[in-house]
Amino acid sequence: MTATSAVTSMGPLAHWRERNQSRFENWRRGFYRFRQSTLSLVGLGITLFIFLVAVTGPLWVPYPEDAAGAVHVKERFQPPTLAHPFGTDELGRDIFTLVVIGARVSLAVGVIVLLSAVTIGVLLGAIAGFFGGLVNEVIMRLTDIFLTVPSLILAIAVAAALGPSVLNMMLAISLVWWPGYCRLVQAEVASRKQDLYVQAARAAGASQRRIIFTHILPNITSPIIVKASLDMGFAILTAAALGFVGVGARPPTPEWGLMFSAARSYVPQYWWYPIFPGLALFLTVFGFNLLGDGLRDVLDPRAKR
Amino acid sequence: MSAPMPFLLQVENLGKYYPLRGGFFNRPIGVIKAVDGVSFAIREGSSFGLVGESGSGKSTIARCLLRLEEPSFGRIIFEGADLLKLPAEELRRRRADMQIVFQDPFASLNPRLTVRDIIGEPLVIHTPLRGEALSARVVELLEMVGLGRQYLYRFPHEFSGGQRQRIGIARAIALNPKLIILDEPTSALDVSVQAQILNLLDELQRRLRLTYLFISHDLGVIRYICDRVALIYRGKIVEEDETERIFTAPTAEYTRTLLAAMPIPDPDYSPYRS
Repeated sequence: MTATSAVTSMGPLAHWRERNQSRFENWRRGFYRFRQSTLSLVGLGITLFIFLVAVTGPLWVPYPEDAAGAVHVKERFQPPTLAHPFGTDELGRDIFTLVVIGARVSLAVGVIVLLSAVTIGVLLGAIAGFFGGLVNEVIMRLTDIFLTVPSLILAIAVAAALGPSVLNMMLAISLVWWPGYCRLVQAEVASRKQDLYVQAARAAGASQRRIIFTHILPNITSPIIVKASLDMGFAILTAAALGFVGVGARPPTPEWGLMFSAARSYVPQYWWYPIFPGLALFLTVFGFNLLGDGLRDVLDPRAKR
Repeated sequence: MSAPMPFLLQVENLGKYYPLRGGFFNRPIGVIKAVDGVSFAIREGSSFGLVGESGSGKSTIARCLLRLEEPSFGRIIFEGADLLKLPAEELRRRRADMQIVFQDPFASLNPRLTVRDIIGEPLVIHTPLRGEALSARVVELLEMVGLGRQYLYRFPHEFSGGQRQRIGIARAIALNPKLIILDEPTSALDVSVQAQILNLLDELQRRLRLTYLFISHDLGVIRYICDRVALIYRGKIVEEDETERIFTAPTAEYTRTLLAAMPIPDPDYSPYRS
């Protein structure tokens, strides 16, 4: 058949390029729109920088043993110098090292919390939105119950009940974070379900699984990605808040909220102790927010402020 | 004409009522009779027109035929079997023989899928074709509707309305169906493009021995393409006959009113000329 030979006559690379040409074009256009806003680029830069620091940190921090709980009492409360760019804390540990390693904890918490919250939320929201009726009522009322309780209080209560550890903290935050996604996805799925291309797939005899996974979910990824990138900063902030009140990470884990909490009793004399973990936290949340705004402009131009 | 062809689709006393809810606790306070006891039959290889104004129930009939909507009562006999009584699996297989082209070519194609995946979807669902063989079949279909293999990996947003409607038609003929429901396939298009699409439909019908159920409110289009026409008003058929007889000797009052409202495509009759 002529059509078959036309498809196979190309080399594999040329074929791959042809198959994805339109996709590249879409990305190129998306990146162009992203580039139009300087703030989005700053956000992307900050975010990439923090990820880079978190991933490579253990290879180049000056005092890796400090992050593991080493104590140098003789060097406690040194102000920032060349040897200790961010100074040292009450146990003589290098604050620069702790802040860098702390980025790993914060980012890990943010990523894992969002992954689990998005997974639970998308799954429940898709089921509720697609099947409707009683299933929808049960899932959405459960979601409403979670949303009526202030999330930070609930997270603190759950974390306190489970006992303080990084893992329990992630569990607690995930547990209060999914309802937002559930709501978002439920509304999106319920409206996409009425779209003509979904009707077309149903008329063609597509299974429910096929309709949900190839027709509905791919068309609602944009609002989910935008919400997740905006939420990332807040999830990290919540983790720090749990560390601050003592139901999150435990010492000697280098966690920003925990460090800030420990530093409370030493200000203003040893100002460098809370300032640097605080700045790191600020920079991270700021970066993710800018990135989220930029992504929203690219993926969801109608939702622009 | 030789002996009449057998009936492919018979619709008997089809009805779709929607409950109307309101007041306290959403009590049912009445029904909307979208389709109210409609009967008609379509012979193999013919084109049957369903004409009516907006809200007359013509699209609801199409949705009931495809079982996108459960009819309230009636029988739909397709290829000798009552679709409303078939078990789910059997119905799924029969669906391959009955396809639809929607009105709005901008909304009926999934924006996230390439042309190959859109046209290939019915094939993936109903046949074992995959990979290169699937691509080859999609290219074949693209060429049948006047597009080429260079569009295989494009996304819907890269096409014009007419091209998109061609993609919708390619998807509908992918499984070699017997019946195609055309739900106002040209009313969202420019007039010049409408003519191209109508010619394409005409050509495909002859080539693939298709049967059409053509839904429209455009009497000119109906006259061009259909052998028989039924006029529907408020969920009921008011007149059904051969196309020429409807246009030359209408019996129902409603038909006469509709025909009188038809614009005459002759500049000499134009009210804008003296």
